Amino acid sequence: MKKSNLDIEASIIDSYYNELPEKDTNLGFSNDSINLYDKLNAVSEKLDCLSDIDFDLDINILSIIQNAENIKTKKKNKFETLSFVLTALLILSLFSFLGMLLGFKVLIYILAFISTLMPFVLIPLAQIYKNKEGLQ
Amino acid sequence: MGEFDLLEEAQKGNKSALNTLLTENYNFLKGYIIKMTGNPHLSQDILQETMLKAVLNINKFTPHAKFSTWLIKIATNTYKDFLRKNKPSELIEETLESPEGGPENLTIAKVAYKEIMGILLSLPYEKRAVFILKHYQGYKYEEISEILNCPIGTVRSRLHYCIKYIISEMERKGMIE
Repeated sequence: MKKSNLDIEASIIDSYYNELPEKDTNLGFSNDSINLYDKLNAVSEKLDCLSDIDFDLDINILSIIQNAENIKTKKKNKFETLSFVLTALLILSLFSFLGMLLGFKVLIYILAFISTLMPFVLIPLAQIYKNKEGLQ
Repeated sequence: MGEFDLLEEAQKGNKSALNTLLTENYNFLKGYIIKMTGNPHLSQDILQETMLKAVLNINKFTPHAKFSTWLIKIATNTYKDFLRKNKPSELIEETLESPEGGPENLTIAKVAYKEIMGILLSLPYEKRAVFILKHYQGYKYEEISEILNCPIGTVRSRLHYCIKYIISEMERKGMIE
């Protein structure tokens, strides 16, 4: 089937930019094709004046990296504060619920038990966390 | 150290590796942004924003593509966001760096720059991006379709549209015969 003019134009542009599959590279040398190739070359020559265009921009990559670090730290702090507040709220509501369910006398026994046990759990956990951070 | 090793180091938090990576890709990225915007102030903002986003999201980068391609993708999205929030930038040629050959050459360069940049800026941004990525940065259709997140056929038709538009504009202005 014969290609339409638009298809040929498209193929010439693809071929100019090395995007034509090898089997389609034989586009023939009609006057229109040669004309379009000449135009593409002329346009390309004109467009070359933008190739080396440069503006003197004031960019400091190290300060950008530092800025990003500050943003990351701020985000981390925000997340930690939020998770602390949420955990505290959760624990308080849990104790209130247990107090209402089991009576406040039982709750005081539970709290005393937890307070005695807590240091034995938290201190080793803190040590493990510290060691991990030290390794990183 | 190769790009892959630098990336690995940067993702582990090595600032020096990150600095090297960004410095190596700086000129490529800067060239693309300048051609997209035609405005030094806007170029500076987009470049700064792009690098900041790249540093913040360095751990999300997976090395299927080159680091420079990822940076170009971020820059394109940053520019797109800018255009959504603001009106298109104006062409500024005052800060063009002086070419060799004195004031005469500078004047000629300024006229040519103004006319060509004007033609490029009159193209819609998504078509302009395709043209700049293909013509100046030398990307393949496939890579451009990944950067701009659109089908290869769309990339191809956008490039063809740009070429025909640029030819017609240059002919209208008497820049080519």
